[in-house]
Amino acid sequence: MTTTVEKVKVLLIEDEPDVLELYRLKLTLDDYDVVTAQNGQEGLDKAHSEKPELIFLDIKMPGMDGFDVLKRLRADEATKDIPVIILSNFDEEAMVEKGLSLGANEYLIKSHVSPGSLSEKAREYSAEEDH
Amino acid sequence: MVRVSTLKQNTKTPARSRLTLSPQDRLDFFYKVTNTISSEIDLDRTLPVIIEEVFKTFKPRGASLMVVEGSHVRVVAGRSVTQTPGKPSDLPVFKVGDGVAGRVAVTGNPEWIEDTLDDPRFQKIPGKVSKIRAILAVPLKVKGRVTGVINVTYSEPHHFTDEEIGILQIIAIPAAFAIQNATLFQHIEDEKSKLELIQTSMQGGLTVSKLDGTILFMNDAAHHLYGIRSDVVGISASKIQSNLDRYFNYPLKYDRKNEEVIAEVSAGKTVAVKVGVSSKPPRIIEALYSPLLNKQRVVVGMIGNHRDITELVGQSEQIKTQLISSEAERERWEAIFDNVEEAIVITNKSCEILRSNPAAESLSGLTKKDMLDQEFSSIFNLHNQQGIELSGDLSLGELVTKTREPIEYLEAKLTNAEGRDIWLGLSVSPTLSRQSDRDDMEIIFVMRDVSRLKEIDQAKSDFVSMASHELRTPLTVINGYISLFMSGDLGNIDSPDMVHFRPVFEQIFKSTARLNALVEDLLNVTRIEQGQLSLSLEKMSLDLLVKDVVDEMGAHAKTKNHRLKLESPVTSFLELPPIVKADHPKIKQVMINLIDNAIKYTKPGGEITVQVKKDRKEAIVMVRDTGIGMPKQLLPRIFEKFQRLEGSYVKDSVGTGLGLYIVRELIRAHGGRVWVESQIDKGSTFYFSLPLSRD
Repeated sequence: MTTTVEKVKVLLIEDEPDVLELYRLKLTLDDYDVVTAQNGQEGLDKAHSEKPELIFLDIKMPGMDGFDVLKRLRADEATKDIPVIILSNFDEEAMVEKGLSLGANEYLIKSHVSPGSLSEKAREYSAEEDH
Repeated sequence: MVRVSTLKQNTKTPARSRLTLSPQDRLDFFYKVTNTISSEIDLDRTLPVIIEEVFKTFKPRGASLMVVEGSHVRVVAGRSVTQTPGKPSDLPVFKVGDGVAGRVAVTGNPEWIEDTLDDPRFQKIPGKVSKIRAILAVPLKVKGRVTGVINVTYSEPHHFTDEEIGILQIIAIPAAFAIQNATLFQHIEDEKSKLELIQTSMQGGLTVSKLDGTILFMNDAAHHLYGIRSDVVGISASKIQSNLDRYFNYPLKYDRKNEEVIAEVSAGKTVAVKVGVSSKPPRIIEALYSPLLNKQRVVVGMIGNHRDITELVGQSEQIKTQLISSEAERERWEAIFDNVEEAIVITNKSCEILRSNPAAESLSGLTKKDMLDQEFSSIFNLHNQQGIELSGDLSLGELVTKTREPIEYLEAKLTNAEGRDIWLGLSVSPTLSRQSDRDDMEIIFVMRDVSRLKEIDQAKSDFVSMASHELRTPLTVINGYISLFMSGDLGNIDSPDMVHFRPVFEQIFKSTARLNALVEDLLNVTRIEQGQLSLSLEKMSLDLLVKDVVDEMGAHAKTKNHRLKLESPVTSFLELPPIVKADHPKIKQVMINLIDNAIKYTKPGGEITVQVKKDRKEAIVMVRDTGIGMPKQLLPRIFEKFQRLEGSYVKDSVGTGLGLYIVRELIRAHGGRVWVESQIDKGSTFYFSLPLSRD
């Protein structure tokens, strides 16, 4: 069966399985097409292959961290325009500034936002895309 | 008598004599004259007596007595028949060599003119007829030297007999001595009064003593200095020494032995002796004994100069004591300077290094010599936590020179000459305050290696930071699922199957919220302690922020049946709102912490009042509760970390002990103040102030 209405595709890059599952669940329930990646490299690959409309990106990850991923996304012609929302529990100002200066559209603190607000963000960004 | 007979032999040619003296008359005459002369040494009284006697004996027209003074002969006494006895008003002066008297003064021999009319020796005064027809003048001699002349004159020619000449010569003898004595006496008197004047006007004491120590003379000042009880002049030294109490009012203490002093002075030396006089207050006399020499340059005695040196000694003692104590002070200071653990560097106001201690050497990795005269910031190149050079725009020293205010404490990183990174705790003090108008200011840098503390601190902060972040992740998951459940994402929570779970989830939600708060508090504290607290200031009306928080917290207060109200102060419509420059979320956190505390520490059914006031310079927020209050001794510590109230009621209460610390630090970062008033069982009132925005 094919879907008549194309779902909004969202990429979640998060190394913490519990967190990943929580967000995946909520976004799926809210009818988003959720693609997940559990490390930086996988995230970059999926950003290329899946062409999501929005990326939620974790910072603290083993190997390639979120900032590296962000830098490469922005450096790559194919991915440079995809909106990226950083989702991290680091709320130090220096980190926030770094994220934004590397080209993140927003920087959200996980413990300050509910899963529901991710759906709202996704809605926001996909609406912008449409218009 | 011998002279008389001698004179008789020398008399000139006998002539007719008008003068005849009986032996009795002669004796009377001599007696009178010599008596007068020996009893009177006042010339003004002696000379007229002599003249009078001559007058009576010779019955001349006139008689006068002259003294030789240098090249002149001056009449000092005289009488003529036309004048009343006594001192003539007009006493002429002759030149030595002129006239009869003048010649006598030169030759020293008697001379006479029996008739002046046919004698060229008589000096006539031009244009004046002299009434003198005869004159006899004899010299006054002392030790063969002519000191004066005595003469008699007649208005008729007169033959001078040997007897007359002899008698006048005899009279001349005592007269000469009278004049000599009187002159000498006068001279002595003059000298004596001069000496007395010197002695009495001398502040210093003066003594003259023999070489056996016997004092021959002592002036008033010396009397006073030594406190003489009984005159010591003329009394042998040994007698005085054996009975000091009798002669002196106070005990005396000499620093030299009498015999030694005498021996040295006898050898021609000047000797200084210090004498302590136990008067009240005691005084110290310095006596300088120098030799007294006779004409043959032989030491015959001692001249003592005595002066009170109590004050001098006192001053020098004081100076000595000061020197000793300042020396001791300096040594003590040096010892501290060299041995303290802190590195101390002293610079001039241009921040050039004047001194540094061994600790500074090991800190900088340079020797004292290397550091001398170098600029402080070139040796101690300091960076702050963010790695920014402290000696950028204005070095610490320049800042202190400018403000003359000390920098109490700051931490900075030093990369020293050995390439070692050292964390320093540093304080900088000017030696002069802002009030001083002196220019010779120095700056004292005190530094301590706090690397180890810093490491521990960093490790602690790192741990807290890491732990908090790690805690945040599971909390995010728990909270996330709860929110999914509560929003019905996981199924209809109002269905009969689920209804029992709802209170359970609510409990889980509340507990995780508390855990969340703890984690947030810990993170805040870590940030504050790492100096990472940064504010994004914006202009806002403080009363609006406070109102929002009060509205938000209303529900929470209700759970404990508290009445939370915002009280408006009585203000005029014209008054401007309390506009402050503040970091909105942080002030909101302050308000939440304070109201949360009030709710927590007040028994159910209490009242919590919030008020915003404004004075000229600042906005003040007050949060008052009707709670359990705090003991007085706790008040000073209440804003410190991990201070929590204890007591039966409080035990049920939960908190991290960090809330008020965070409040204080956040308000301080805004340039405001926090304070508290409290009474046990009556309640507490917390205040914070923020400076009003000026633009």
